[in-house]
Amino acid sequence: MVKIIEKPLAVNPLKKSQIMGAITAFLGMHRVMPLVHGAQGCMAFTKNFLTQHFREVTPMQSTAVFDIATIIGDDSNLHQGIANVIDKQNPDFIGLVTTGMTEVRGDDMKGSMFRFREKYPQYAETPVVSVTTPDFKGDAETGFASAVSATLAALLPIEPVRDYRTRKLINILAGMHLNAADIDWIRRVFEDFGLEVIVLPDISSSMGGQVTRFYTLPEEGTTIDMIHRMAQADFTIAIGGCMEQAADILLEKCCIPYKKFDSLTGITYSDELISWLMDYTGRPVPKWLKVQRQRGVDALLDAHFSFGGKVFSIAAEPDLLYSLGNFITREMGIKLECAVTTARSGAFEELEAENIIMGDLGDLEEYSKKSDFILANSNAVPMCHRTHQPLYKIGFPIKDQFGHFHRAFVGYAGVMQLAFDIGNICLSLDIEKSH
Amino acid sequence: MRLAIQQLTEEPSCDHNQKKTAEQKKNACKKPTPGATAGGCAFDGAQIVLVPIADAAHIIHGPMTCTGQSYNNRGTRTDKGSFHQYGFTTDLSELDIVFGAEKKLKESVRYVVEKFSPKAVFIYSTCVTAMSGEDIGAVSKEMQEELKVPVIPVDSPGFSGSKNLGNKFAGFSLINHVIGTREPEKIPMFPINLIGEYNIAGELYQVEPLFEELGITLFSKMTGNAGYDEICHAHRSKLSVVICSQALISLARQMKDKYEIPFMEGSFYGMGETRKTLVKIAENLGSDILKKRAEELCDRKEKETYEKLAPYLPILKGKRVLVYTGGVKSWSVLNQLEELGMEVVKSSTRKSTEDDIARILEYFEGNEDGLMPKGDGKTILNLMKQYDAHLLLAGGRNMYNAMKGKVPFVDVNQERHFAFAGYDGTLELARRLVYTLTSPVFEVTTRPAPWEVSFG
Ligand code: SF4
Repeated sequence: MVKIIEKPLAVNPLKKSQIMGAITAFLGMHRVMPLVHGAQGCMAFTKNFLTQHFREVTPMQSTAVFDIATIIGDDSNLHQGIANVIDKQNPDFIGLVTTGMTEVRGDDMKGSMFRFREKYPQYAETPVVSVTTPDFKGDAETGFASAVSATLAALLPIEPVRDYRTRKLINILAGMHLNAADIDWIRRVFEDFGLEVIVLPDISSSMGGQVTRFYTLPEEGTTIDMIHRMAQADFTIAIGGCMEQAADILLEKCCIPYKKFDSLTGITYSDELISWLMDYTGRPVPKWLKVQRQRGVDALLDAHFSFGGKVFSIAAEPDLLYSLGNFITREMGIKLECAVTTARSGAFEELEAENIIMGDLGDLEEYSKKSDFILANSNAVPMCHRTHQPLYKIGFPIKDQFGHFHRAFVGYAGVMQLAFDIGNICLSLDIEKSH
Repeated sequence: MRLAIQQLTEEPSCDHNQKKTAEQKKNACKKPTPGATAGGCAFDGAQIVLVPIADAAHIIHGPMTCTGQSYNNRGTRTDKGSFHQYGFTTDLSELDIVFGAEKKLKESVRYVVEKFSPKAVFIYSTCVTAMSGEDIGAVSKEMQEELKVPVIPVDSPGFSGSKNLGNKFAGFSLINHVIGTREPEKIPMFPINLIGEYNIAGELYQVEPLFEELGITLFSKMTGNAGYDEICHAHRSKLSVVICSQALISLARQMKDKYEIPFMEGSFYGMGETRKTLVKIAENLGSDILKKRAEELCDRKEKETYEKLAPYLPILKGKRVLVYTGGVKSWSVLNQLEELGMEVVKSSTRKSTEDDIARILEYFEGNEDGLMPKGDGKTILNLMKQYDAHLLLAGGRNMYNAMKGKVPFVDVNQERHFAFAGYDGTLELARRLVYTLTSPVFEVTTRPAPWEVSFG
């Protein structure tokens, strides 16, 4: 049963707004400019937040709605914002994100875009993907999912031409919980099974540090051509419950069947993926993957001595919460005391936990008293100082650590990484205790 | 409520406007350009000033963006409490907005006071709650009476302006609701207000010992390492010293009008500025002995610092720096770099007032070439190349731009981990400059990869 703790306000929010999720999704696309329609603070906070998290340049802009404009409610800011972005950066497309303020004001985005197209035919070349992301609804993950869905809905060709030479093309819809190393692992596995993949959005390539020159638009993520080509794929794999909505669009618009993985973390889910790939392609499993599985298994065996009897608590957006929570409870055998999350989506309600709470880090602090360690973002650092619990940092933001984005949590690589990382925390606790 | 916001936003949004004609005003204080802006909102600015008061709780009345993406992210250090690391927000839902959330806000204040017993509660309005007409003023009054804890409204919707304006909103709340609400137990010999110093990375800790040694009491700090109580008795100080903040001069001015406390500006960036500031404070406090003591202290400190700087100065000598930072900070940092023997090739004038610009120009001996207008990462990197600069000194926003350009960089932003004020700070800055300038990383990372090398 999912609990909601009765209190009037959020104490140390776990939730980030939909705006942050939507922008993160757009950052995984090549030469897109995320444009936040609202007062400039929403963009500035989010930019600061994501820059510190990724340690990368994170291009984004704001329509900078100001006092008078707020009250009158015209669309000059929006139009001027789009025009300026096209003039200055000439992006392949614009990801337009709304805010609570423009939603309360009742801005009619469709109508406004229509007027924009009429008024400025010179900008007709640049598509604008508009996403509704009021921050009084949903969470970062829903914002992320909405941005991916909106992108597909807007950019997929209306009548896709099936090209039977591209039989081996697979779409991968990568949820917000995936790290760069996760996306890389998934891509490599599919490619080594002889498949071609298009990953949407591909924040591994854009925010993973491989762009070493200066840029004013995110580079090397999913290109607009790739997005067009997704219509010709044979199959879609959706990773994370929140990506189902986007997979549905591909199904409805282009008749592409899909399979959804609520998680790819742990031996069970990894095996399921590999079995599927073996069936689908009829190919043998690459050697490196076999080796990696053996190593994952070995890591679990080695570390299991320290897992026994431990208790943990976790706070994260639904997909990440489920992936890690499920693996640590069902395959490591560590008890879950309290799981805190931000929205009702995905499979997290299946977790075996004493408490599953829709809430914040304040609730986590209150309901994790028995836990030996905590999994949460870096905003839980002050809390873990107070409670003297070790913190394994996951999710958004992680501002005080290098390399978090390059840890793999999925596949056999993820099994090994997590067995070691969680194992080390447990081992230190055991050593401390015995002294 | 609407009216209150209007009044506030009708104030000129930057001080450098005040001497100008209406026409000039329009030009100087242009609204941000849609699609080409940087910088935070007024709400952000209000928080910068007030959140360092860490024994008071800060409740943000609005939906999630304002808090979810921003809390626990201030570089301020304090030993007075831990609320600066907390995010309290009413996290409004759609229903709350439709039906009004004043009740929710009241319950939130009760909850926080009961559970966390803060010394005071600050309530911030944001875009959505200002638009839907939530009356945080009335709620504050009611709650203060009910709970017997000071509850202070901060009217700071983001859409009303820039961070600078938000700084002012914060000052407005302090002067109207906090300062003068309590009398101190005793008044020391030389009590002063320090305004606009937020103890970023512990900068206050670098200058505090100087005041201690002189016998000057930082009676009310606004707001680095401040407790709520000390701000209440700020009206008993003998002098206000505004550090690097144009926006809060208005607060000092209001305190002068209301309580006849004279004010002055100062800076602790660099040994020269530190000396000037300390001596001027002593002068303003009207004590010759104090002035003499300040001069002696500075003599001694300078001597000590130069001794410690000895290993670094030869490395820094003649190195060219591009400075891209806002406001008052830019000219004081220029002087600080000059003391270290470095040469500034260009300095930004972003957020600078005319006074600031005049001072920057003074550094460049009147040559306007030294001034650099607003620019994006690309402009900065291009200028670096053009002027063959060795190093970029800027805010965190540009840190990763610099890394993409593979140029040495020192961060002077709010979230940084190093403090650069006073004598110890000058030493720290020298170290940071030397570390980045001499890092082998830049040579290694600019080498071509094996497949990029052409033979023959
Ligand atoms: S611009 Fe408005 S809604 Fe956005 S963060 Fe600032 S106060 Fe909040």
